[in-house]
Amino acid sequence: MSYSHLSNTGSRFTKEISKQLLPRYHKYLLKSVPDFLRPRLPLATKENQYKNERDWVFMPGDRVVVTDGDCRGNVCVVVRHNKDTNSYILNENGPTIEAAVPKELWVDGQKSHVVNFPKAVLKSSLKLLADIEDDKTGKTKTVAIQNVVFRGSYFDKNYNKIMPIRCVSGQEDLIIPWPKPEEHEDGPLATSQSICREQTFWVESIVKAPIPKAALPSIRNEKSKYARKNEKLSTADIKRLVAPKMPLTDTKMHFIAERKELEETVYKKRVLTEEAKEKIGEKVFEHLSKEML
Amino acid sequence: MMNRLTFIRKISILGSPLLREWRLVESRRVAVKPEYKVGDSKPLYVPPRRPEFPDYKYGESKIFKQSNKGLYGGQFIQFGNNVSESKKKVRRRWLPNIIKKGLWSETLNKIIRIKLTTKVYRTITKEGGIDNYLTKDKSARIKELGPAGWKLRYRILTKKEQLSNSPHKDLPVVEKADGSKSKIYYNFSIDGKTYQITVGKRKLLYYLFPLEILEHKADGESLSYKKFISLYQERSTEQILQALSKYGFDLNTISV
Repeated sequence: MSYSHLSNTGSRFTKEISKQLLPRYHKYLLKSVPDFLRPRLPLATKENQYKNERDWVFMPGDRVVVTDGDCRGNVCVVVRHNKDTNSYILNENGPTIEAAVPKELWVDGQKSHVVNFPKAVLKSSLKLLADIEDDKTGKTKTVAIQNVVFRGSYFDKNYNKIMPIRCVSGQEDLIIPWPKPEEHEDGPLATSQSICREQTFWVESIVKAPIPKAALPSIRNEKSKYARKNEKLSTADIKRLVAPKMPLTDTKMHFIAERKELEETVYKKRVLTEEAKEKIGEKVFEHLSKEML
Repeated sequence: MMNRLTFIRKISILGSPLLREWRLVESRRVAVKPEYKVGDSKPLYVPPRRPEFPDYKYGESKIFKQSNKGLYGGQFIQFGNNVSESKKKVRRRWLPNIIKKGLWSETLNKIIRIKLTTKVYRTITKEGGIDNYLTKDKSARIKELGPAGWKLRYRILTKKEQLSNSPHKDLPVVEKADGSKSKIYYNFSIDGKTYQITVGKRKLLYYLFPLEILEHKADGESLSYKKFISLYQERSTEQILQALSKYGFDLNTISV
């Protein structure tokens, strides 16, 4: 049983399955999932999964034609993307598989164990359909596009984001617009866009922080193990950081003692005492008084 | 006629030990450690244990790693070519002459087993032992010691310091009945009898610990060594001896 709705524990593991574990994961997935829910296509690794519109090419709502398999030539509509297998689920015109469903999972009005499920289709077996105007007759006709290229980008209001411009390869003036996405009605607790976009905070000073210091614990996890604590060095830390000193050898100690002795006797700086100063003064005075006479 | 130059004796000054180069020792880059003070901000990493040895000024050799583990006397690996008769060059290397030896250390009172070069071995012989070799103060000696030699030097000098400053160095020595000598650490008298104790406080605690465990066991308690030490840390030797005699320890085994 999955507890993902209660806790994030282990979610990282299930999301990021390593390459080494992937085959084993597949094996147990296939064992644990009922046959009709099992993915028929190989799972895409996280790096290989389609991430944006350029990767997907066909968005839900696009008309496509199936180019191989039992339903070859059928015109279908993309219903949704299957991110795990980089594939597309098509509407009822697309390929299906028959699978037996246990009675517990029956839906209202179901009469048989055997149900048709849509089969996921890869990008390589689909071609995009577009309506173009015929130059000669002036009528619109539906054509399958061999290849699609993306040139430039624009802001799409329907998707509410920047979207690449989808063009026909070899004839880049032919732009195939993105289909309009399915609209979702706002829930009763939804906030309207205008309220969200209203600016309520203005920076008053770049010197003073906008959040008072006392309020910081309410927005940051003070006990986070990743936070750099403003810790100070203690004597115990310093003992662990500083290596011991090499003790002095006997010869070195003798040398230092000798040096100290010499400094005290031979190299000692002689200080001029008051007595000596007076004596010098007397001598100078004596000499000068003689000279003056 | 013979060339006049052949008679002139070439004087080589390169072989002189005074001009020995320490390029590969002196050029090693060693990170300068900051001066730490109490109250400064804590660095990103503080090692869990205190460093055992002082920092070696010249660091470790990066080009000849095995020299960090032995006494290599500042000798390093060298590279060159073997040149055949056809002048074909083949790369080769020259290692110093390395031997493994057990050398008796007078200070540590044990054999030091270490890898060393024959050149260093010769110097050790000339110096009169590994202790003298390791504790010489000349800067050239410090350079040739390497990290391993530096660590041994620390061991020897600390041991010497310990011996010279030992609190028990002036204790009276008595001769035992079997002829061996031992120091007298304490004079302890109990029940009118005086014992001259020949073991130190640490050994007394070592004898007391199992007796204390039994005592605790009788009361249905357990005693760890840590707890035991905290119990007896502050007590005097006299109190420890009293406890020993109380638990029936034969004091004659540790006295003269």
